[in-house]
Amino acid sequence: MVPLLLFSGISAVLLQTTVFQYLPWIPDLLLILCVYLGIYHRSVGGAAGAFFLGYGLDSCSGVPVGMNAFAMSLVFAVVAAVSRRLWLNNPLSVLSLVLLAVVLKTSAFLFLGEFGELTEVLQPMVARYVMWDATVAMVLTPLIFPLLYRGEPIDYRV
Amino acid sequence: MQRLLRRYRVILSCGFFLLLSLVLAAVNVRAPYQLDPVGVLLLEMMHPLQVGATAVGRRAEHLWARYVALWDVRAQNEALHKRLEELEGMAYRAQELDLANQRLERILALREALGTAAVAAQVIGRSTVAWVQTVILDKGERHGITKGMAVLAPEGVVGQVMSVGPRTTRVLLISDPNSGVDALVQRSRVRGIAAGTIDGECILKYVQRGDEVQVGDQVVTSGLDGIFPKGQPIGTVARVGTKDSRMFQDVEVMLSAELSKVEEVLVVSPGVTRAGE
Repeated sequence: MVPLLLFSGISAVLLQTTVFQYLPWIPDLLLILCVYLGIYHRSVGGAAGAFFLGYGLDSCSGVPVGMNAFAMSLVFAVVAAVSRRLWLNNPLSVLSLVLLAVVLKTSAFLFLGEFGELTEVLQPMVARYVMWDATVAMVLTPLIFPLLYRGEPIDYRV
Repeated sequence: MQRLLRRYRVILSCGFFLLLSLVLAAVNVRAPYQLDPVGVLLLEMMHPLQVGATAVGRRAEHLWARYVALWDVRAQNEALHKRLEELEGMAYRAQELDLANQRLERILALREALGTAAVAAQVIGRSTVAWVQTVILDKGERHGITKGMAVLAPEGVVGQVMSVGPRTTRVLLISDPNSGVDALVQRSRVRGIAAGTIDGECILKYVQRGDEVQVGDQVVTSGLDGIFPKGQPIGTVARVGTKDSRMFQDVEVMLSAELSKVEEVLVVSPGVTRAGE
């Protein structure tokens, strides 16, 4: 499964930093991937994966390094904590978690923006894109999750 | 201790990565790329992939711009065509109104020139068979039209009222074989009867062999029939023929009024003469 996740992560970073730049809005595939890791890979590897997904995006996209890494780590941690306590195998719960992840990521950005006095820059951007991000992520989740889940070893599947 | 570490390894690892990313972010949001241990390496690894993906993205965008976006152009083209049709329709209607205005002005001028009460009417129907040359007008008895009244257009004589209904009038055109208008050649004052033919044309009957008639002569109403006002243009002599065995000349007249196109006419009482005559 690790090669598939690695491939998915690299592809997501590539798509988000290159091809998706031509679209009216950029689907946050990494966030969806992070939610997936939080639900199905609650492990040290999953946490590292979430961190490096964010780090990779920071490095390749020009965002101050650490912002996406922090946001993704936070998303992973919260999703892992929630999914550990709740049964999240139905699509509605997963979509709710994705929505929560969008909110968490946005909050993390705003929180970190305070450090660099970026709030004035970030706030209008967040207000403009957060709903789109959430909508697109929720639309894409039912398409991406089954693809990733099929790549899991059979004995791992619920 | 080891058991505790193993038990809470996920939580601890989450905490570790959160702390690490927080430190990285806290430093880098103030001074970008000050603390970026593996960023350069990651970027170097991703560089060829990014170059390739960007090229693919650009090609896809070009494809979109050149071909797929043409759908929009097509829709826009259709919308513009529709708009053009609307504007052409408006221009056509405006032109029609302008032409109608001109025709009505001429009718009005004719009415004033006749110096009498006349009824302006519109042609609303035409005969569907070639051998009967009639038109239907939108005015009738209620508007003062009676049988036998002359029907004129600004260009010349149109015909004569043959039957009247309360709100419609049937007019026998001058080009009908049964019609006849007392006429004279304007230049030589030679008299004759302008009558229609089976072909829907007009001839000047009873012009004697010695009478002076030339091609191009104007033929007008004589006023002697008591129906048509004197001096109304009927047409122009188009051909003059003489056969040895016949007593009269064959005089073909090209009508002044284009009967197939006339739209507005003036219905005039019998015996009216042109103003000033």
